[in-house]
Amino acid sequence: MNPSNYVVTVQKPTEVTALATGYFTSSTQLNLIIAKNTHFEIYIIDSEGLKLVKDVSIYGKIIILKCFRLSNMNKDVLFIVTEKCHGMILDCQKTDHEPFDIITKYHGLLEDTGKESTQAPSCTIDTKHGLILCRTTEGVIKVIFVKDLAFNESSSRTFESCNIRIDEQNIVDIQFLIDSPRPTFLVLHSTKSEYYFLNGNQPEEYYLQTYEIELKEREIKRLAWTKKLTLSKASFLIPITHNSFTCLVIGRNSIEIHRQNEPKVGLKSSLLQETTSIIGYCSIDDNYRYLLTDDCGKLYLLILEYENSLKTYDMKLNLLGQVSISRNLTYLDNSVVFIGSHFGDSQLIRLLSEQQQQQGGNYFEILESYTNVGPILDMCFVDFDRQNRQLVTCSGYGKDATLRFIRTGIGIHEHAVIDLPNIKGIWPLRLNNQYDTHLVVAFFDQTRLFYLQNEEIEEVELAAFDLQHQTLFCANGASNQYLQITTHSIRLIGNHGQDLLTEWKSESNEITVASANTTQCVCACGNQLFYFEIGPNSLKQISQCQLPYNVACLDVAPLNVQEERTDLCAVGLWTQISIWICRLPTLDVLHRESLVSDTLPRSVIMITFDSRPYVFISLADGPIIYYSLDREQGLLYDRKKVSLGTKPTTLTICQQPASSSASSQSSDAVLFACSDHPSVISTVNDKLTFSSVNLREIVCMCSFNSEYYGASLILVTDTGVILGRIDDIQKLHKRTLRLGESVRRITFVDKEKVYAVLTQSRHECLADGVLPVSKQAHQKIDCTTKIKAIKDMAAERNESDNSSSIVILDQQTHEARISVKLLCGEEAISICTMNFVDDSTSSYIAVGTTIVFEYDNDRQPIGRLILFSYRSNQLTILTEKELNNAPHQILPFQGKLLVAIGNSIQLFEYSPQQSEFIQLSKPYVGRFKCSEVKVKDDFILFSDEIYSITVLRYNPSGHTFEEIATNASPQLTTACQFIDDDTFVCTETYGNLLCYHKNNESTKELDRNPLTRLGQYHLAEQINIFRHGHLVTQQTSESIISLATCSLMGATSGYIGLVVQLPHSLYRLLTSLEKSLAQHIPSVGQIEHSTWRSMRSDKQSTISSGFIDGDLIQLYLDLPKAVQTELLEHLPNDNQSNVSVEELVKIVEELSRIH
Amino acid sequence: MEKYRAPNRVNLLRAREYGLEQSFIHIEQTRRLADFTLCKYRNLTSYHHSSISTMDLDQSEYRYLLSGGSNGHICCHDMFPSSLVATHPIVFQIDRNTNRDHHTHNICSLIWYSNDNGMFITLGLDKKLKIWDTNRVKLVDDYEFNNFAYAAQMPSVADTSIIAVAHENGDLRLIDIRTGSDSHIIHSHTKKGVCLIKWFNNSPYLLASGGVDGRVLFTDIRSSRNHYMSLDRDNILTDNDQVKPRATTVSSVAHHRGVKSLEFLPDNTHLLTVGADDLMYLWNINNGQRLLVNYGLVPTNNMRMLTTACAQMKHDLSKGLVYVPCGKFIRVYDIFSGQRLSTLSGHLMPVSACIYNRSLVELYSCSDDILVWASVKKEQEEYEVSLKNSERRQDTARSLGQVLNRDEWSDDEEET
Repeated sequence: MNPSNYVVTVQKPTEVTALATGYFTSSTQLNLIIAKNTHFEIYIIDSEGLKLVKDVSIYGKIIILKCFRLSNMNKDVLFIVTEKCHGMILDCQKTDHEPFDIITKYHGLLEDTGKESTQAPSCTIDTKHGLILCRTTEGVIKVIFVKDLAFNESSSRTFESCNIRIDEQNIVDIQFLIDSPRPTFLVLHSTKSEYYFLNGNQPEEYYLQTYEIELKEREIKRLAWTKKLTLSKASFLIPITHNSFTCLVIGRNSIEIHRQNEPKVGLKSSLLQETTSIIGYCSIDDNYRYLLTDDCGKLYLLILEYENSLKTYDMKLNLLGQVSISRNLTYLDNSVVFIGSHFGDSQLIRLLSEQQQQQGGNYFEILESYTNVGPILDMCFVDFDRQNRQLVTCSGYGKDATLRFIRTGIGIHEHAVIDLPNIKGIWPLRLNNQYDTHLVVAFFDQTRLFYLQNEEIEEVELAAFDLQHQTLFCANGASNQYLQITTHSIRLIGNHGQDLLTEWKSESNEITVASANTTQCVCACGNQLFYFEIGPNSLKQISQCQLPYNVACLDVAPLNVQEERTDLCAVGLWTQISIWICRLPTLDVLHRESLVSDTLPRSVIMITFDSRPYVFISLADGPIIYYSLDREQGLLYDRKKVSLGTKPTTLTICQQPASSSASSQSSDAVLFACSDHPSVISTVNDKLTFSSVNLREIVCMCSFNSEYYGASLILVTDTGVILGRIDDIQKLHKRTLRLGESVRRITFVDKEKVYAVLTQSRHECLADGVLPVSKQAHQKIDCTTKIKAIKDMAAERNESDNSSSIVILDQQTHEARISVKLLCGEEAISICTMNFVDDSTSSYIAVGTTIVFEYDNDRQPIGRLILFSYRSNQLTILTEKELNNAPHQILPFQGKLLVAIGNSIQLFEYSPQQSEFIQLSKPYVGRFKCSEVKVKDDFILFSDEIYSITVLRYNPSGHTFEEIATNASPQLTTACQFIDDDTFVCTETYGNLLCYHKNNESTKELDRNPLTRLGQYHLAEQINIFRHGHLVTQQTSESIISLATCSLMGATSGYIGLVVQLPHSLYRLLTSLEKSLAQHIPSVGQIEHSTWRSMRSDKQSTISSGFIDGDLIQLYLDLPKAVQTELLEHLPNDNQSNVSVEELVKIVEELSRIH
Repeated sequence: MEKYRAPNRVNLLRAREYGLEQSFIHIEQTRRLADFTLCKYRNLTSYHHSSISTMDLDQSEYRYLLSGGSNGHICCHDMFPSSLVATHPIVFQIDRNTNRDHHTHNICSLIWYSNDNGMFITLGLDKKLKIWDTNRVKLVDDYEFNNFAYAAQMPSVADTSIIAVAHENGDLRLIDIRTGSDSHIIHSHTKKGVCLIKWFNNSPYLLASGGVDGRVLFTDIRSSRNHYMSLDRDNILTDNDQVKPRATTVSSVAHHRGVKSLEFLPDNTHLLTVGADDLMYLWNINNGQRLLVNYGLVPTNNMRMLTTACAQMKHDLSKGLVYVPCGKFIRVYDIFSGQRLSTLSGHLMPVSACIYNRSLVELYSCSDDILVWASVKKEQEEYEVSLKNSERRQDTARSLGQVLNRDEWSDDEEET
């Protein structure tokens, strides 16, 4: 068994983990630098707001980000420390080929052995003496000497650093005194760890300690001033005056100023309550005003008031309003503040003066918000009709909780929307203009003309146009003539639409189908086919033939855009479902190709992609069939079929495909498939690609080259017309549904097209004026219980402000239909939908709940299992079952219900007769509490919190679970997933991805069957959930990568990744490509790629294997051709496969399109 | 943020989902540390016929346990899987039957290479130090001394190649295995000899050595001085102003009699020593002060060397535990309060070493056999109940434990 995993980022982390401001890009431009886990973004702050100028990926998770400037420098540099303790100092410079080039000036490994600290790492910089202090390990302070940094050298050097032992343990914060003549710092620490205070009832004790660094000896000397604090959860230390021991200490709900030889000054404010916890701060201007945030998202302003020439202090605290819950915030300029959030969208706000107070009572206005998908707690993958793939994530917490609907597609930028229902067809016209000015819109039985000027649209009538019949085709002909084909006649129009030059009417029937180009025209009346040549003021019928069946579709588009004529005509027939290729002008039939289909062709298009002619046929039930076309013989060959929509698809050639910016590509034609799953068909490197457009349904479309809007598209939906522009490439599109209360689990009820989510609202975490979704529901149900134990326990507690609910949301409108309120103190923790084998008519929703004892660790939690049936908007409670532990996960399993209760797995069956759950199996008892369970066929993958994963098989005859294989080495599994019957991936707390394989060869039944580890890979993301599926619809059968077994994973940081299995030969090729790319592509901070991806857990480090870093592989496409060739020639693997650069680029491009 | 309110296990798990809290595992492990019991159903494939003098667990996978006997035999057990019922197989052994490079006398020290488990080092009373390739179980290099050596150790910091060896005549020998040089000798202790040597946790340059004379010296191997600090039992950390802090002097001793055990705590600031005077002391290694913690008498039973195991969890400084072999028992002390928590009994001979496995949260101890201790009381009881039940019912369905244990005697009975 060989490993073959390919991991690629679908979405980079979105949560903000650190912020810095400074003059980083140049000495005049103020920058905001936002660290988001494994990358940081550099923004330029100007009068219009924030402008993203660069996104830099780091080989590591950023834990410290600081901007600083030494006295000998004219601009700021950036100091970064990653989770694996790689430190670096970065500079940003303008170079010839890159306006913002990131240069590593200094780097080094700041790792220390020893006991890891429970406190978050802290770091402080003394710019005057050129010292950086870092505290990551207990008992040791790392000092980095930056005084004599030579910043004009081009190559990166290693840090000069040393360790200084310090007696203090549990250091919460360290800060240098500002402008002290000798480097002096303050330490805030505790003698006991935080956990001790939480468990015991002792008063919290914190200490302030002062130290001076002796630069020569590289030692620290304890100074006299120390202070014992009794703040609750002291967390921030802010020195406030120059060169004297005065500092502000911010605790959970207290703020104090401490000074040497002076009594402390504490803040008394009604705003600071027992439940408040302040989690972030930033200073507005030096030592005078501070912004504070708490864990409910409240934003406070702290003002220090100086009296008697800095002798005494007073403090005032004002509440400004509610923002996203945020630990990181920074003041930019001009009363603009950036709020970087972990739980919700990041915000850019402007503080207002008291007079300007907003209506909601906020003293700020929100200028902009930035989407943050994290933390992803759960997600479900919804695939409507196999087409509209979307991922729905449960994100955020408290008032910032949201559902995010993520899908990939080509985005539409709408210029204008016109309400105009029931349109059958649409064509642009140029009247006296080089740009398109008019729109011919066909309805059933009539035609209307519209004139577009700038933003205005008006309906016009032009004398020569027939508006009484439905137009079938309309176009600009040669020499200022216009061709309009209606069901009634073919009309050639001149004189700017005023004069009818000539008209042709069919003697017998109505015209049913028509197609034309500037000089040629074909039309069909039933099974009669006519061919005309368009000359100046004339329309000459050249030939006519009769076909065996009625014509369904026609095309005479020239195969080359530059050409005016074609000598081929494609005809699709009714009844005998086939495509005929006819020679023009004679209408001789060259080729008949049966479509092997039950449904008739809706449209046929001849088009050249990369100088290769194709014929595309769309069928009435959605799929597209395409052939290569032999121009000489008119033969069709190389048939391929692609499923797109489920409704009739119309194909349209669109000359100006994408945005106006892509000038190099604008000459290429693309094919637009209008259906319920609109797509753009184009070629990228000789390969047809089908990209879905992020719209619901399109009836028909045309391109419209407007003078005002530029090259645009007109897309017709059921209800109207959209004038807009489309993106070049597919992107992720996220829609947000704000819930107003925490959401933890989601499931999709396919049959009823609803989402069922588990929400939880805590009173203190709700926003003012936002009604939580469970309260919005049309129908509200209270879920009672007959189980005595649960009833008693719920009655014991009367916290009416905390409630859990099950909410049913409509899939289309996202409205809450029904909400079910659980008992007091009861918390819903798992949900699934299922159908029982003997009843397939209704959908069942099973919910697992538990009663939590907040302050009681030894009491075993109890839970219950509730079964609902949901049918046509009616939710009925069927039964409940008492459980002796918390049901962490519920899954449908062979028509039964598999429940992971505490550390065991049990199987339940629902008996409709007695309407109760029947326990089917003897429980399997695992070693520790289960974290996730996955099922596949008979197999069950059981992962527990601290040991590892176990594979079980259910034995239906004996109703037992049989342990098949287990992993021996302990790991803190967070999520797991089946790849196939024998291969599994799982993730663990330290951000690693692991792949295991089950040995089937072993014949010894009695032998223990250990899982073999196939590979390990460091992601630096804590993955919460795996879901099978992929966002991109893979249409072409030409693809080399199978997406059948791939999985999406969602992390707390908002990261979404994809794990795919590659064919073995490709895997080998890419492994060696990865190696040579890792050597060639310079890394920011001089961190080696192998170090970055090597698995790290609890101080053990294992080199990565079995996984390919897709993010690195994709960088191959950005390299110049010469480098690509060179890398390929020097691939480290000697058993070289003979791949050319072009082929490799094609492979990598295909890989880059799977997400 | 919720963690400020509710330190409940369910809530910690919930906080972990939100990416706020990573301490769940540490808290869980701390809970298990306190109630170790003997794992009755886990056996190591027996090998040693004499008493076992020392053990070492590899620090890269926490999986392979080396044990060395007083007859010079060395054996390596695989400690995976840590299930309730298991028989741990022997991975390899080194004795006169299997390897001609075997040690002939008592094994004093066994050292796994700190970077990976591809190499280990053995020191025997046959005055030989041997370096082995684990994968081939082959001697790579060996050093022979003129004097007896009682202990050897390598720093646990990555990228070091220096082995420190403690000699009977009081010399510390430094061997650089990269160059093969073994000539660097520090004459730090008196002629009575050094019995123990330990490197500081986070430094490849600092080491502590304990002598038969009761002195504990800290040496910086970069410096030309013999040692930079000598621990003094009268240098006490106290709040009492009357007691003046004293500087350490040359004559100061840490213990009245020889030092039997040195153990650095994982927090990088403390050292635990046990002396032949039956006392255990806790020291601050930064200033050499002794913390006033009274552990009571710790009888050492004339063992030449004891290996104590310290378990200190990331989250619970106050609950650091030390496992001290005392005769046939292992005593568990709270390091910072000195409180004796429990006594683990199960050995029939005096225990010489304890090794704590921080990955699996279990303890290994050796006397004439090796026992495993872990927090399995509840599971073990449940298993015993299920065993009894299945015996009573004479069920055809064998319990999983029986299958794993290959405990098939009941089947055999049926057949006969």
